[in-house]
Amino acid sequence: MPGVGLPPLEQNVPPIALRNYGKWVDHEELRPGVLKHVAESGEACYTVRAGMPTNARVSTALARRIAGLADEFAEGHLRLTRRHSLELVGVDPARIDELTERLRKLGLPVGGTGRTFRNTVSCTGWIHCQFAATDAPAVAKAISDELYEDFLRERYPAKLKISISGCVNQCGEGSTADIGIIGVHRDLPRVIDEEVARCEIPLIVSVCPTGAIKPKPPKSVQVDPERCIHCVACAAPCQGMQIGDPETDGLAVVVGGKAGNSGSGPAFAKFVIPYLPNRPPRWPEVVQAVRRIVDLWVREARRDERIGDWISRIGWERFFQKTGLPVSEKHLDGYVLWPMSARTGVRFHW
Amino acid sequence: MPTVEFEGKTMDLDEDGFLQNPGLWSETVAQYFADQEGLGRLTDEHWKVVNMIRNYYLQFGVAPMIRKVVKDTGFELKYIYTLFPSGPAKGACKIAGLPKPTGCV
Amino acid sequence: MLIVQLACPKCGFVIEQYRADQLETDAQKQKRYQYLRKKQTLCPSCLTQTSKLEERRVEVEAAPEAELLAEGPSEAAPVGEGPTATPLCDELERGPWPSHVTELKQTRYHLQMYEEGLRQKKTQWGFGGYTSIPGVASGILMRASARPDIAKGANLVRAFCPSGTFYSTKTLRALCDVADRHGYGILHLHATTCDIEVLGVPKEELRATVDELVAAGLDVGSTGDAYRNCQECIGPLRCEMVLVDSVAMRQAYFTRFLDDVQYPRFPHKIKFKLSGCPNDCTRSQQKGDLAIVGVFRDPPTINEARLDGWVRNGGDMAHIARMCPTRAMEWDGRRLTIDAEACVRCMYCINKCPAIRPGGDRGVAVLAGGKMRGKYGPLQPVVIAPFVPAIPPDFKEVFDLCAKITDVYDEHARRKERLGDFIYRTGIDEFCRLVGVPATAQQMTAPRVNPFYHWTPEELQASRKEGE
Ligand code: HEM
Ligand code: SF4
Ligand code: SF4
Ligand code: SF4
Ligand code: SF4
Repeated sequence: MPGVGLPPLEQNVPPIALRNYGKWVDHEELRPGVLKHVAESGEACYTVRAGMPTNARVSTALARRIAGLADEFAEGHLRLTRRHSLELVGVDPARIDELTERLRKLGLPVGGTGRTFRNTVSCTGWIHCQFAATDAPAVAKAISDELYEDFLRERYPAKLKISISGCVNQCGEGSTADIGIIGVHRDLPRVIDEEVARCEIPLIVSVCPTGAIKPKPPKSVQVDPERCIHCVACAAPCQGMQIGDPETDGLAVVVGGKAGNSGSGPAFAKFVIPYLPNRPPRWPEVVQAVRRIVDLWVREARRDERIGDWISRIGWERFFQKTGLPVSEKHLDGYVLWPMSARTGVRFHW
Repeated sequence: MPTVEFEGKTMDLDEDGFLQNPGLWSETVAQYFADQEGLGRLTDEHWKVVNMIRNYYLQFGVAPMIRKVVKDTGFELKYIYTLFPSGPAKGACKIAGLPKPTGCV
Repeated sequence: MLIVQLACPKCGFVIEQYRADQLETDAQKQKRYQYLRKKQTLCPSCLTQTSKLEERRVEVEAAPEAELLAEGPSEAAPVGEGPTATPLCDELERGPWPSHVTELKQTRYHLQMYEEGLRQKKTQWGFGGYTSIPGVASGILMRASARPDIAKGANLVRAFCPSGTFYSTKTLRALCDVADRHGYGILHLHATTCDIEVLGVPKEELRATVDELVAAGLDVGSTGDAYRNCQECIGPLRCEMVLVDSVAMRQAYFTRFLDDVQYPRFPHKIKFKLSGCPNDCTRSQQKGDLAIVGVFRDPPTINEARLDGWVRNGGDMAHIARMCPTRAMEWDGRRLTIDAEACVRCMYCINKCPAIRPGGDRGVAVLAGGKMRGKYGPLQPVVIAPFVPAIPPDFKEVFDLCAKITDVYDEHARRKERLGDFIYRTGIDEFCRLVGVPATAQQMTAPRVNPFYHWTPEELQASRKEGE
């Protein structure tokens, strides 16, 4: 029966973390993927971080192999980070190389700390979701392959986080990351009258943000094509509202998001490529776009500047000019919160 | 689509056993669904919840928010879950003959 | 004991191995073994595509490493479905990054669903969503199939990650056992909110799955219009920045709100995120319907002796002072001062230089209304209270405020309206009034520019009285 809540700390937290609970004083990164934390008592704790299969899909076979490594190298404990990479905590420093090699044999690269490309976050996409306009896991895989070397080595001015979602619901994030990829639908919801008749019509009408949905007597609805912004909201509460068209679905690219308060503070990413077509299995245009933005950032940013910081220094004018990405009216926000991104002064970058 | 014969009427159900045409609902139908759910004979307290949900649905066309159910019936949320172990949405709404309340995750 | 190994012919990496005696008697293992021998495989170690795995027979003394034994899928992938059956998926196994397809292939997930999705550029899954079974009001999602000819739909079960997202191998193995017994044999470790998801559970086995997860110490929940799993940062367990005990706070959350987590009742989902300091490792300030972030009020402290050493070892203080967002730092090459009035306690200098540490007078800020979609698209949560004392063990002040916020939301919001959209609709002034928190200067980037205020009759009455 549910209703028990969280297990006691001792059940899963390794003794080294319990012993030094709240008494950590320092940490340093020995090399990408290897961290050393030092506690008040002087005790040092070595952590090895590794990338995990895209989309955090882990077969029980791999999970058991990882458990085997954790027994061998980390006193039977492991940890998953907020970006779903693997951490073995409390590793004997003399055995880090051996562990790195063993992880590599499992196919898991060690890296992803400091100024590197981090583990991607993605949603389930076409593996398991009804709304997906694009396949987030495959896009994540294509991008991760492209930037693989940067996971292993610190080549960047600051860290680089990339998140991918199959649709605007953003279960896999996107707007939160330095670079986000977000699946977009562009077709109108198809209304299946018999199905809609069995749904809660007032709810369908009320979830639409633009009032594009009107009841159609006796028991259905109609969608105003002028108003629909393809937000997928109406598809969630009713089976009869179907959105998605393989010929027009695709994805958008956003850049410059960031979470922490350090430096410029938290911000959402901004849409720089409104639409790219789906090209499974490896989405070459997307990979190329990411590559172009990353290369430029690496070349031009100052130390500690995340992509968003770099762009706010050089300005969007320069960003579009240097990346060669076209600017169109799709970049101007016309939705309810539009004044937030429209410029008012005449302090331009030329 | 599964169907059941009941009092000479054929009722379509969806894959979760929800009534497809709410117009066919009656109190005996409600008792039939309650049996399906393994609730046994519906008590007055069950009826209080079922009638409240049904009346709200007939008036507004949507299932009531759970807060509304709690407020109007005076039952605590957990008690409603005890009355209808599959919950107000899947249990009580089904018995009240509402379409399946949806909404992802 | 005789072991049969299938290894990469190029680098010799053992891809699967079986006990010879089991291979003779166990039909499923035989099937899997035959399948692997025929199939093209990508070696996870040297990453070469091999057409034929090398078979080796080795004698070992003790029981071999348990995890290397083929204990993945109990049902073998169908023989004859060679590499050509899923060419697009196979393509996703290429390249150096560990692939989700390689994982899916080792399980009972119906890969053809995914392959068709990639081929048709369209998801093959149908309408699904929140569902419940008697006794389990939250924690189950239904995934329906739009292609019953390939695969039936199934359910997934969500469980809360343990504290600090640490797992003992015992817990992890128990989780694997549940996934093997009842699901496809695949785990989502983790889903975005740091829930564990066990995928592919048939309806009849939901109850058993839930009970076994709970027995393993992993309680279920986090679906439906309820408080969701709450994410905390690693904080006291391995981070020197920690200002408030995020781990204890999450435990207090589950102690106090377990019913709100497991019995859905709100207008829409509510996601909590707790970060121990403004670095906000849980990204609460982007995604939290309720974001709780550790803050400090005294200015950062400087350890002079340590600073000297750090600079002597090549630390670039000039760079840090230049990058401080408020230019609060003054560095003349020897002495560092921080202008307490300019500093916004952003953590940048603290992250970069170990001689600078957060100041005292610590508590949390409570923000509300973050989300990634909903009516008005992505919204960052807004500050409701800039400083609330965070007092263990129950963090009463913090969670009282949270409960008040969600009560107001529950009382006034429309169905399927997220907290952020509700705040946007009512206005932050009205929302704060309903919650009963006083306005503070920390809540605004600047005061309002438009002159259209609302005055209540009581306020007018007060002025009239004064005039008399
Ligand atoms: C059938 C439909 C959907 C499926 C299968 C789905 C799946 C998921 C999954 C697997 C996660 C990770 C959850 C976790 O770790 O607990 C997630 C998170 C999320 N979902 Fe969905 N989702 C669906 C619909 C929606 C809708 C309609 C919305 C918007 C209202 C939404 C917004 C989100 C957001 C913003 C997150 C990330 C939350 C966070 O990181 O804290 N999803 N979803
Ligand atoms: S972001 Fe969209 S496609 Fe991805 S899991 Fe969420 S609803 Fe599905
Ligand atoms: S997709 Fe969004 S905007 Fe379009 S009709 Fe549906 S709810 Fe309205
Ligand atoms: S949010 Fe702060 S306290 Fe928590 S883990 Fe991150 S840096 Fe450490
Ligand atoms: S905490 Fe931030 S604002 Fe304050 S001195 Fe350091 S870098 Fe500057």
